Amino acid sequence: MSNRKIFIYAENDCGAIENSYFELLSKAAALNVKLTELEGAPAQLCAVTVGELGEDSLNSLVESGTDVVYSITDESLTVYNPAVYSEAVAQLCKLEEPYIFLFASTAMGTELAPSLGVKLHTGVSAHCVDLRFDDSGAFIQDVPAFGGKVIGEILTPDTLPQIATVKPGIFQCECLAAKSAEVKKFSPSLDSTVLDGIVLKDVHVKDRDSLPVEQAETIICGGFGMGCDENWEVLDRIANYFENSAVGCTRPALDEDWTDDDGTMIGTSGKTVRPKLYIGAGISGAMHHVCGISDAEFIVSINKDENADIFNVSDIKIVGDAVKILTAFEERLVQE
Amino acid sequence: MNIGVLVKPVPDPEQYNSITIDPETKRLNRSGVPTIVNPSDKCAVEAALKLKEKFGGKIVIFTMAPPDGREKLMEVLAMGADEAVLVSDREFGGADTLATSYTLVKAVEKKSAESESFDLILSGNESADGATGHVPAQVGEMLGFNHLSAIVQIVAEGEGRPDSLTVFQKIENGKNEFEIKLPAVIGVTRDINKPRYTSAMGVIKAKKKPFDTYDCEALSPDKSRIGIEGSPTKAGAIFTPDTGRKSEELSGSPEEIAEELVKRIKAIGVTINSGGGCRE
Repeated sequence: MSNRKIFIYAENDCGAIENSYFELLSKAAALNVKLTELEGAPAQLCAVTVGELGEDSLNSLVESGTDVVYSITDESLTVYNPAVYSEAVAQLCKLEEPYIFLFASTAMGTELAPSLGVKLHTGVSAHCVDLRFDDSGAFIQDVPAFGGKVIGEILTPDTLPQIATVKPGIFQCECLAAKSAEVKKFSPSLDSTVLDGIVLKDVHVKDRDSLPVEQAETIICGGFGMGCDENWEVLDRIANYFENSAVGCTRPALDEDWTDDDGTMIGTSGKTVRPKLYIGAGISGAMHHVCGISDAEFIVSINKDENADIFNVSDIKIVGDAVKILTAFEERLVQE
Repeated sequence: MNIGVLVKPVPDPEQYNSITIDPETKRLNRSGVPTIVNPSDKCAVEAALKLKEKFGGKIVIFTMAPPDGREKLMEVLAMGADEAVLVSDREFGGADTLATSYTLVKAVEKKSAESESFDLILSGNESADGATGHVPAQVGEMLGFNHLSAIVQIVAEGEGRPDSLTVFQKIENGKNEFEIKLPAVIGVTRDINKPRYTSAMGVIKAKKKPFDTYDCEALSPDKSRIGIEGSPTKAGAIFTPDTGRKSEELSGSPEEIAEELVKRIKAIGVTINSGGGCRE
């Protein structure tokens, strides 16, 4: 094993490991295959976690297939404070000098990664949709621009670590060969001035009795073409006919307040989904939305404009009024 | 309360579908796509105006852009901001988020030194075009201010200039409620408010408001930290992702379409639950 280290930030969600860590680790393991070809030896895969973890969570990290688990703990790290967290992680980086540092582009990751970029004077790429080494060993980070219409390659050739955030749901979790990672404890030295600038007063968790869109196998998604509040309900009724289903929305539908659950918004500033079946109703196909559904297995779109962009990315095209078609579809489902 | 707002002109996100890559030159072709003020930056301006209404003070808008960025700044002045600073020089071109943040920080520091210091810097959480969301955090780090991103609500209570603000941050499953001490940098999302429209009177008043242009010489930055040279990330090739599918059309009456759709759904192995009730 080489001295190169690939750090992966393992988000500590109230003592449990956020799933995005396993997605990033799977990608890092794939990167390591190419790195071994190029350099003759793999890099060390290192999970980095901040704050106390429950025993089960720590074990799940230790057995996740990583080589090292850096556990950064301090009494000031029990509650999330981005200023303190980024400082603590920066201190570990200065000591261990990672080659690459991967974060999920979650609320936490998108705050920590750019802060770390400043503290370590290095480049950060955002919301990557792919990561790879080219044959010269350059680490290429594919980032979406213009809502995903264009993908640009980003390189960080001269500074380390090469920091990237990756949108959750882009990489799939693979089971890695089990091994027992070495746990290394790290205690940062934190100045009191860093500690009290920001205080987390409360966490307001939205109670969700429905399945999150990113876990759904069938998604019924509504856009601006649904027309009004009352029309929205048919989406829920149709979703009821499918196991593991969810109702999604686009930005315009959210702006119209037809749904108040912004966690169901799909696209660049929302969720990336990969259902077996996606039915989009009254959706024009703005890139911001389309790039969130491109991994769906089967896409059905209904729009009254026969030239709507959404049809270019659809398996099935239905030209017509979304509400009329959905109503007929619901009536047909009743007969099942 | 003195507030700086960072604003970026971007190609209109409603028209990103018409952006293409020239197959010959491999460069971006965005002709015909108008430039607008980045939507979440407008929300930042609106948030600043609301705070000013409560606490008084002044609002200074900063943008780093080519000279034609002036037009977009006038629009924001017409919304009610007090002063504008256009940070513009060829040497700033090609900057990534780190170099952009550094350049903006130099401009904020220059303005602070010339008049009063800022209590708060607001910015849209991310630009519609690059959408990294890095700038609020990086500007905060470099200024040595407390900073938070993805803010959907700002609560300012009491009279007089506050020492801190209560803010709500959007997270995956809800919101974090933070108290953040001033001075601070806050990135706001479009959920925070609906920006006001500009009035005819606003447009007329905007023409008389102070407007500064800072070039490279005015900011005297560390040249190794600006523009392409000061950017640790480099841009490689660009391409358009292949999202094309066969787009087979189902036609007929709504009932006929529904019948065919049910068939297609079953064919891909998705089960329809008789009687519904899957999500109850």
